[in-house]
Amino acid sequence: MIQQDYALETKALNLYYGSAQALIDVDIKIPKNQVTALIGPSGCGKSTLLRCFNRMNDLIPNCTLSGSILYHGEEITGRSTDVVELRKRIGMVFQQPNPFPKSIYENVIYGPKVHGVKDRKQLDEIAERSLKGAAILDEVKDRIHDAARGLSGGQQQRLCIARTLSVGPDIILMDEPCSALDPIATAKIENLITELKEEYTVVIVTHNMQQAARVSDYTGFMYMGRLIEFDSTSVIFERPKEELTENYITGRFG
Amino acid sequence: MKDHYHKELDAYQISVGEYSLFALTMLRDAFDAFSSLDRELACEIAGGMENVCIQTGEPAMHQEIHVPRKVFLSMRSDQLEEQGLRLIALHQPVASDLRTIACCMNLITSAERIGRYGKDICHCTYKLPEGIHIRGMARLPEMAEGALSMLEDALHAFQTRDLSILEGFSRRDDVIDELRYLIYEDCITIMEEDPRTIPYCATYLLVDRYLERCADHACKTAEKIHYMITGERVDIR
Repeated sequence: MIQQDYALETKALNLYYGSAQALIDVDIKIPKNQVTALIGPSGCGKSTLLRCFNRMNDLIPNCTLSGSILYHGEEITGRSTDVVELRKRIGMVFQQPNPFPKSIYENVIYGPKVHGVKDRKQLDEIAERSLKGAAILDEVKDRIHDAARGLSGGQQQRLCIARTLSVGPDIILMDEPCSALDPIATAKIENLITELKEEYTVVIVTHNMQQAARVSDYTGFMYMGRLIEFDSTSVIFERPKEELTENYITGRFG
Repeated sequence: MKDHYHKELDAYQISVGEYSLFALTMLRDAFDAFSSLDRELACEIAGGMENVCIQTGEPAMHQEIHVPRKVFLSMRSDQLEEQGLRLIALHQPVASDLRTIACCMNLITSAERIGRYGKDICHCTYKLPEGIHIRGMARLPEMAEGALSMLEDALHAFQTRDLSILEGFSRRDDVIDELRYLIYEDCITIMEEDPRTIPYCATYLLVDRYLERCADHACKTAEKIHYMITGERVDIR
């Protein structure tokens, strides 16, 4: 692989939920300003790995890990890491759109306000920039103070992306962002993902292999806690090297 | 148990193999028709000379085989292409499945071209006076055997996924190329010596070219089969 900057990197990462091992010796390098997809059957550890990147697993009791996770070369597994700051830099979007029960505008500026931005003009700018970045500004600009829950599922999901963008991250993690959406809304999110990589590094977990093939530059295939194969998306989907990968993506599994 | 999609994919490969064999047989029969100057057989393959043929043969029989093989060749090529497109559209194949369908599509195109060369050879048969060939048809029989055996082996490799069959294809193609120029030189000399040989030698030069193209298709097909099986590109020729 060509020498390049990595936004995230894990080394010999092992993770346990109690005594059950969910990740086994995972070494992965997530290239900067690229879209990386993680695929694999349910329970393979792809969401667990994604959640490691912004320390979401801290919230789970009995969850322990060993090995290292580097964010732009900096270790983030230690106690000294400021998790709040880290999550500002590494945003996350979930499967089910989860806007706050507030207006569209309040949703987007919620994060910056928590982080201490008070100036109304500045908040307006952040709102506009974030909504624009999430490709939803045109659809909501005339009703920005309406309830966010009144938006369609696809719009809510893009609003959630806007909310993530508002605090100025450089990495966006997406866990099945389109699974609850119809094909048109899905296509909009996929287009958006492709645009986002201009400014952000995107890591997406998806069950939809065609989606992984469409939106990502790199793909990692995981199985039973291990990263089986990691390569450019075209290699994974046209001529994978590992038989496990081949069997999974062609549907010959089990 | 195999799922429907993989059963369909298996069946598709079998159909494509059968179609390749059909085209290959068409070429073989066309060359036989040419060698024996058998217009009836040529007409059964390529059509177009029905009037001449029906006068010489038994009319009833010819009415039964009135659809020449070239019609089936082009019809079936479209059908198989559509089947392949349907598999892609409905199942979004990846990895070896995708490479297999891509290879099948290439095979269909090649087979159709090969069958068409058979048809062209039949047209050469029509051009020659009935009777016998001159000078043992230069070295065309040898060349036809070489090209046909390459096509057979390529098809065999496709059906068995045995890459070892494709070893030596470059060398075999070189032999064909050499023969092509030898035949060319020979024909020029023969024509210079005796202008009455021109109708024969002119068709030999055409057939010479068609057979060389067929061997080239065999090489191209071999490359595609190699990619289908291994995912690695190779250059054969």
